[in-house]
Amino acid sequence: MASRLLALLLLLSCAPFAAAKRRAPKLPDAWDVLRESLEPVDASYQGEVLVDVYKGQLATTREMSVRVADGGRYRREILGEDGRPSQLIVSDGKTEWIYDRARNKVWEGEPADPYYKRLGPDDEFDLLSENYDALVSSSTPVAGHAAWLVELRSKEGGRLERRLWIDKRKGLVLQSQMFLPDGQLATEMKFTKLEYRKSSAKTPFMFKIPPGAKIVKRTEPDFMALDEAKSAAGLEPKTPAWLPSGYVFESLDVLPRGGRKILHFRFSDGVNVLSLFQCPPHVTLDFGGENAKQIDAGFGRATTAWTPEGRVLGWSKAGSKFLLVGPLSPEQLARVAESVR
Amino acid sequence: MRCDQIEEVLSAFADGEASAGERRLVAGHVADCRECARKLRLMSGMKASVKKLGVPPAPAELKARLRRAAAGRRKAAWPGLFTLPAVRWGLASAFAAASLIVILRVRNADDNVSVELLLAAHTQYALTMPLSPSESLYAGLAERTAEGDAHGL
Repeated sequence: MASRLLALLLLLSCAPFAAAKRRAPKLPDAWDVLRESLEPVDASYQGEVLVDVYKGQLATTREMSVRVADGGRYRREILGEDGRPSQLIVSDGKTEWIYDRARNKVWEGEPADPYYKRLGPDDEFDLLSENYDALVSSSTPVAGHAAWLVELRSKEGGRLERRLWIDKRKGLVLQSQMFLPDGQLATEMKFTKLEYRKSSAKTPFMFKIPPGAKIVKRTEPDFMALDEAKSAAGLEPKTPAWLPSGYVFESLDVLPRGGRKILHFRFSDGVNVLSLFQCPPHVTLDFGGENAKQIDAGFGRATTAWTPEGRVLGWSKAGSKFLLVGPLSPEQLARVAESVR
Repeated sequence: MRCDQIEEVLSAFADGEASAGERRLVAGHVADCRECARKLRLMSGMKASVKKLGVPPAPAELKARLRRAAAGRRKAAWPGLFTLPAVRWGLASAFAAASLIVILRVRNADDNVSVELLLAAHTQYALTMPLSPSESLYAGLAERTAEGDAHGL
């Protein structure tokens, strides 16, 4: 009798653990979830997205209507205050058109394509896994779709960099948050409505030039090696001797500006981009916006400004003008700038 | 208004050159002042008589002489002006200054690089990154492209 009672007690005491074990979802490997999110989604989709850009405690919100189909086709409509599209970004897979309704102007060029980069998608993914830790957990659904929540933290310092809510079935990023070096939320994107479709009509991905619209041809981005800079731009390239941990040179591009050329150096840590622009002598950097201010950057006078892409630092050295932009702290930006020679 | 004050504008009134305000003042005054009304009638009468007399035509020979003299003076005045060293240097300096302003304006327009344009290039590149927050970047790209262009892309 005593032994039966003991067995019953043991069974009862173990039952909650067994139930908990049954209930706990089996978590996938975080890197597998991330890798799957980089694959093209095997269905067309259509939805509505909210994009928040934070500046301290203030946020501006944009509403977008998104349609994506196979073959790199997409249509993004940025809605104005009146609910009508104020800007369109349309691609038929080969050409991308950006249309600004207020200016009745079209910028025509090629869509961004990672396959021409010097660091291929696999190399970049390796860089990402070298520099970041990924942690996965189950999340509440986003726009009605079950999601995994993946957090990316830098290996150096454990700083939270990204939060991504990834569709469990389709691998689509349903929501993402990007953080600044000081831990503040910089931007957030979230699908509020989302519907997958097996096929999509061609029409939304065709762009018809509106009557009277001015068309501007955008220069195609190039991905050159460092030693091609001088022959391509006629400028002696000035590069930083110091970069924050994890960043490597990826490629450079030459931006034509009238008869002059500007060098665009890109550095990557697998997640973030650091851009350095080297302009020829006698160029004036036009900051336009009113948030630019003059500072003593430690190595000399510089102009700094806040942008959703990160901080911007502009300075002059040996007759050339430089501009640095990336999600770095002001101290890191100044250190990179100082090391440019 | 006193008579001595109104007298100052009577002549203009008689010539039809008084302003609307002056006309009202004169009309109001002469309605009550016989003396000024008389002066006005006299002035108007004299001016009308002079107009009736007309201007006697100048003799044809005198006209021709005057025209020749005037033409000669014009010819002499302009070459003389341009041959003055001070005037020549002044004009040359003004031309050089104007040219410099034009050159500087053209150069300034050409050498202004829009930071928005550079940020558009940065955003376009960021779109090629794995795990890029593409919807946020696309929203930024459209804005940057339009703003960069507005700043003289």
